[in-house]
Amino acid sequence: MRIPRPAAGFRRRSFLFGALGLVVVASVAARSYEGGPGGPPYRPDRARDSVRRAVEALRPEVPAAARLLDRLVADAEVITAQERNRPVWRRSPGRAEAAWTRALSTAHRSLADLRRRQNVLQERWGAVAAVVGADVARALQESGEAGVGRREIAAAKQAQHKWALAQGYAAAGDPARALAEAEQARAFAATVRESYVALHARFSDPQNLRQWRRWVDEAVARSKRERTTVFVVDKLKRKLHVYANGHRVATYEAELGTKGLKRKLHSGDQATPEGHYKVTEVRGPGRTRYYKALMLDYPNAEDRARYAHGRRTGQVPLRAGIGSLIEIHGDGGLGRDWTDGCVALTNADMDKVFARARVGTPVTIVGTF
Amino acid sequence: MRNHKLALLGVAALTLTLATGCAQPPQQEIDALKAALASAEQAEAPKYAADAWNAAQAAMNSVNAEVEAQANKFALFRSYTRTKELITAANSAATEAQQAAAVGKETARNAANEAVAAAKAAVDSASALAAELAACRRQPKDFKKDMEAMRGSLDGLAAQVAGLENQLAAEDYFGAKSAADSLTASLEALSADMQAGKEKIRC
Repeated sequence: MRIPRPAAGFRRRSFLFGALGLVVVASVAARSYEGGPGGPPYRPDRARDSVRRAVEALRPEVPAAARLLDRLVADAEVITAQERNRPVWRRSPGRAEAAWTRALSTAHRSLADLRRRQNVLQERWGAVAAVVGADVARALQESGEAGVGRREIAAAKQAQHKWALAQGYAAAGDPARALAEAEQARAFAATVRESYVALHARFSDPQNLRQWRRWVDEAVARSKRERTTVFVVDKLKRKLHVYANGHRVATYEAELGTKGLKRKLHSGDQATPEGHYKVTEVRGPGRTRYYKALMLDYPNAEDRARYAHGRRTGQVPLRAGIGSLIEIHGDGGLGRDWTDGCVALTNADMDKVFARARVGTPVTIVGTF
Repeated sequence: MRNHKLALLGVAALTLTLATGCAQPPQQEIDALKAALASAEQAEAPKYAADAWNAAQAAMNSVNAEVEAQANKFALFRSYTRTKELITAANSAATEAQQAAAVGKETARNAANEAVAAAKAAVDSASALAAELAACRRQPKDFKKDMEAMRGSLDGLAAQVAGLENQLAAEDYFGAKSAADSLTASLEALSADMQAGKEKIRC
């Protein structure tokens, strides 16, 4: 039996369609083939998660680094898509992996930088915290000192507030803000310190010390010479010493004026005067608001001269007088300076001092000696 | 007849090529999506709506990946239908991020404003108490010193309000809120001290 051969045109067409079909099948197979020269395509799931976590950690602290990572992830996603969809012969093995590695290494570097910076800040915080905490505590203590004014009290309060904020930020893991607040706390504490040091500078001034020691020596010598009792008040140490016949026989805790460390200049300044005085009147219970009182002869001649000088130089307010009614009285024992310029003792101590006092008993008040 | 068939085949092939082979990525939609993302970033979505912003970023990445996938296909097989669907989804995510950022920022601003207002009210209340205390007829011996300390503390705390205003102006809402809350707590403690003082001296 003889099979008839197809016509030449039909054979040509069959060949063309067959070849075209083969090309299409090969192309589809090449695109869907997941293997290749470098093995199966890179799967970026883990890298994607790692970078996402890094971005979340970086965004609040280093937004620029987070933005850079966002861009690198976008590039890596595009490259991954390109590689997945390219035919086998156009694929570049490792290209997608390289893109993700670039993103990952940038993320690791940025995170390491962030941690390093946080560690540095944490170390600085650790160093600063101890110092500023002590500064603020000292400022609060010093703001309660006699002679430190409202401005310093306000500064101490601000230091305390800023310090509390700093500690809050540090506890919340924000050392940068904590340090900024701590620096402000330190600045406020320094304001208090400055005033405090200025206030106390006169107590270490050799000239003042010489004068105060001379006054005390004169008082003790007088006590010895006249075989009498004298009282010596040390303002800085808050003590009232009793001398009899030139010997110290007793010492009592004393409280001063609200601004007692300053030298009294005029009425209402709440400062305690310094100089040689004497008792002008002894007042028992019922004759004073403060248990018992020894009235002093403030102002003396030196006080008047200083007041007049203060008026001339503008140190004394226009309507302020020189003041009076400076006493040694009872009702003390509050543990702080609170009087208007007087020296306050506890009632028990006042009883003992009162028993030794007479009109004319010398009282010497000095800064310190 | 044969020439007629070949002509028909040619026309069909040309139509198919024009219909599919010339498919282009939807560039206008992609540009609009980029603009939407930029708007969300400008609205501080990364700061105030981090989750929504991450979702929008991921959606944008999917769009880019799909565009690349289509670009790598044989011209006859390219189709941007799915790309357009992804763009629509990404647009929604970007809009959502922008809106969430606006809401988040507004919430933070309101919370900070409320906290600052509470701090100011606490300053006023403490000032009123201080005035009442100063006007008290009964003033014990250590009253002046206490008043001086309280007024000093009040001055110090009241001075912090200016710092809060600066933080609000700089849009540091989280910082302003925590500082204002802390200030209010300090002022309330001071007011409690003053109130106790008032009661102690029976003012």
